[in-house]
Amino acid sequence: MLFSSITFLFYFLPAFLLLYYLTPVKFRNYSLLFSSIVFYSWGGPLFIFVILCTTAIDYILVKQIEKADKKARKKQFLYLSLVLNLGILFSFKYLQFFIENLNALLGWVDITGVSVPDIVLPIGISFFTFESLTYVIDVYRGEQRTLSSFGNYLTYILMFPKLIAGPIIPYNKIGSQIEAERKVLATDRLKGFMRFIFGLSKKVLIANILGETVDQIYKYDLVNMNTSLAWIVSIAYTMQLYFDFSGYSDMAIGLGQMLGFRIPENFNFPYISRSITEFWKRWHISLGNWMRNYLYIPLGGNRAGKYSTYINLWIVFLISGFWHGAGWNYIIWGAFHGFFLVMERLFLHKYLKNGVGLLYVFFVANIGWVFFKNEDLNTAFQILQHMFSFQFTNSFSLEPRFVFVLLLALIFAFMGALKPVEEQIQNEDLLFFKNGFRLATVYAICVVCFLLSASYLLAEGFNPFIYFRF
Amino acid sequence: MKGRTYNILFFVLAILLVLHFLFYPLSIIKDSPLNGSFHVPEKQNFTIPDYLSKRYQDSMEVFLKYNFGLFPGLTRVHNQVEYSFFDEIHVYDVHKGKDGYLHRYVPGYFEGKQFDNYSLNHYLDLLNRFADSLKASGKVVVWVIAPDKSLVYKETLPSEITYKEPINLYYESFKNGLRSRKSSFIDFNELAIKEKDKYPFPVCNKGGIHWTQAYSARCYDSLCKYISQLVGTEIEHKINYYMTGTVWGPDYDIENVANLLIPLERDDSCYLADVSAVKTAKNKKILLVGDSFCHAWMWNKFFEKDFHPGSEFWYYNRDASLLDNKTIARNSENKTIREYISKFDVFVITYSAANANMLDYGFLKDVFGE
Repeated sequence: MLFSSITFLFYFLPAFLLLYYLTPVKFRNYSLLFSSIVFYSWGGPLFIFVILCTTAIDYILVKQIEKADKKARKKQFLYLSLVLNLGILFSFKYLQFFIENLNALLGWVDITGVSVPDIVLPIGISFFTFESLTYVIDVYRGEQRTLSSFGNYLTYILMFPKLIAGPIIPYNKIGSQIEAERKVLATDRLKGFMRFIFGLSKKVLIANILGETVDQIYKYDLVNMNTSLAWIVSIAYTMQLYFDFSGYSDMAIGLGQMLGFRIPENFNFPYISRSITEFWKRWHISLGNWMRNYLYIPLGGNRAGKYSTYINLWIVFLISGFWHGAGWNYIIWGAFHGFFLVMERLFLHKYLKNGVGLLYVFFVANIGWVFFKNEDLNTAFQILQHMFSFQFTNSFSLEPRFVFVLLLALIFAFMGALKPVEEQIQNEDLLFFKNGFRLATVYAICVVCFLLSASYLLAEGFNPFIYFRF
Repeated sequence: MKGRTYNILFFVLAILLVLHFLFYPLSIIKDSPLNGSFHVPEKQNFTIPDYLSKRYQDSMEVFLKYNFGLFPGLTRVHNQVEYSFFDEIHVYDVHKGKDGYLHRYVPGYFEGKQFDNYSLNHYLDLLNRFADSLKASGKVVVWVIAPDKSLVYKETLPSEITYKEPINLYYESFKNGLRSRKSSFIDFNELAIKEKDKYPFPVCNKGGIHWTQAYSARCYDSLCKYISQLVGTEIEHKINYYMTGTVWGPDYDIENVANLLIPLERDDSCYLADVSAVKTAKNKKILLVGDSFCHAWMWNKFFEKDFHPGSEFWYYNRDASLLDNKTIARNSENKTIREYISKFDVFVITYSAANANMLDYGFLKDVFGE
């Protein structure tokens, strides 16, 4: 079930909120868990059993890690758990990719390949696998204790606000919140709801509208596309992705807040960054943190000299790219970012001041997203070729709606660069308000955004015939 | 700001989530349904296999959308925003043209497609055979081409729609085919182009796709005069064109289906026509075959005044009704189509220029068993 669906917004959400708020505080995890199971099984009815089983095994293994006296024994259980979690992730997400590539290699030496299984990916598997790993590793490191009950562990893994598209919440950031009896303040309820609505609007009113035209342009004529159209489609996709993903994160954070959780931020105006290093501190922050704490530092981080730091960085970004999807385009995308990160450490950082840095980040990120968008590398290279061919021949008439939304998206994306906005965000004051007038204004905008989002969700693509035609 | 205020504000937002139940299924608040033709899916029964395969969820998502209490209201909000800010009109194949004219874009119409010679010639052969066989039994057939707004008001087509002259090749090639066979036909499209500024009423309204009620009456009168000559029975009307504050809905059919909150800018009045029969052909049974252009004739009961009550209208050569618009089972007498149609004296086969590619909707092929 998607947050941006009628089923979720107008049937699931009100029923859940009613159930949650009517449940006595100490039993609220159960109503959250029950609703999360319903939520997940609606979209992936068979996969819920996969999650329940692996979560149960994981829970037992982690208990064993905590109980074990000897380091070696702890390590055994740790490896078991890692094999279980990563094995499941590999089987569902990467097996097909590996077999396809293996077959391609075998084909070169005239050996018949292995048949490629048709595997359906469980929704959100990358997110909940990484969360499970934080639980295992935090307990193994002795930084956190295990959760008091299996129900609470399931709640952590299955909690629906962040289940499908994150943010990836490490166990150490939420374990205590799950165990505590959370009281929801009126301000949090309202703030959370409004955050949810603004996230929904980012997704429905900006990302979806941009996405529609991006898809149309891709279908239009890739061979004869001109330079301006290639840039427009790449910038539009850059914005689509940002508003889609950050909108989803806003919805997750908002929902969490309505339930009394503090879910860490996932985006912070990434396009106002002056370097790719900074970009990754502002884009998908939860993944960046995960990669740093659970991969980069264990690999040695920057402790073993310059060159191993660069290699570690590169490995982290390659894996990060691969985490996003099983395709060469994602690996290239990760390597591409990793390359610029290393270059910045080597020498580039000196030149990236203010406007130059801003342009550089947007340029690099934009090029990177061309690979990210296109699993077919030929298409990606075709778009890139058009972007730099400087030919302005054909024309594709852009709808005024698309142009308007794209401009709006660019304004919102760069708005954080303005000093007052940045200050307000730092004071957590943008969505909240110290006086009645501001509250009324933001609230009114919120209601309008909600009605518009609902109307666009319902009516997009609804084009009735004038009369019934045979 | 106190917690109470926050609670009230939260409560108002929460109300928005459940407001739709008051419309459907509780029906405490009523909203007018959306106009236009669209498919409303049926509710699927719950079964475990369907649930596990996600078929149930997929169909329920669609069902819930179309049966959502706020669906009509929010769709109108969406359509109004799209129309007012972005000039977008959400009706299948319809675009906003210049000067507020709404046009229907017919694929194949502007794309330079045309009949292949074999299909067209074969069809014209059938048409001649049909006309000849009727002639022998004293029956008549009239081929009528109704006007198309995009041709009559070509200058108001949206600028983003590109086309090459000559446009609407299906229409042109069909008409040329008829001429080359010396088959007589009435081309109201050509007539409308010539005389579109002659009358106080328009051929088509800005917000409508079909001819106006008034112009359809003008054409009906011509059609009857032509039939009179063929059957030798005089049909005569008195037509009174008048202006009224009451708009006849089908004259603004696109606008209606656009489902907007605010009506489009237009005159608050509309020309209508009173057609009263002076001399009739009540002894003649007519079979009218055609598309939605015939609605103006049928819904205003023009034929009913002049022809035998056993006459029929076959909409797209499918749904049948009597001249009083009462739906009947087509060929209720369970005969072959040739036997069944032998009871009619006059056949009016109507094409609209825009639908010329669909020929007669398969009527002649049915008659000749192809």
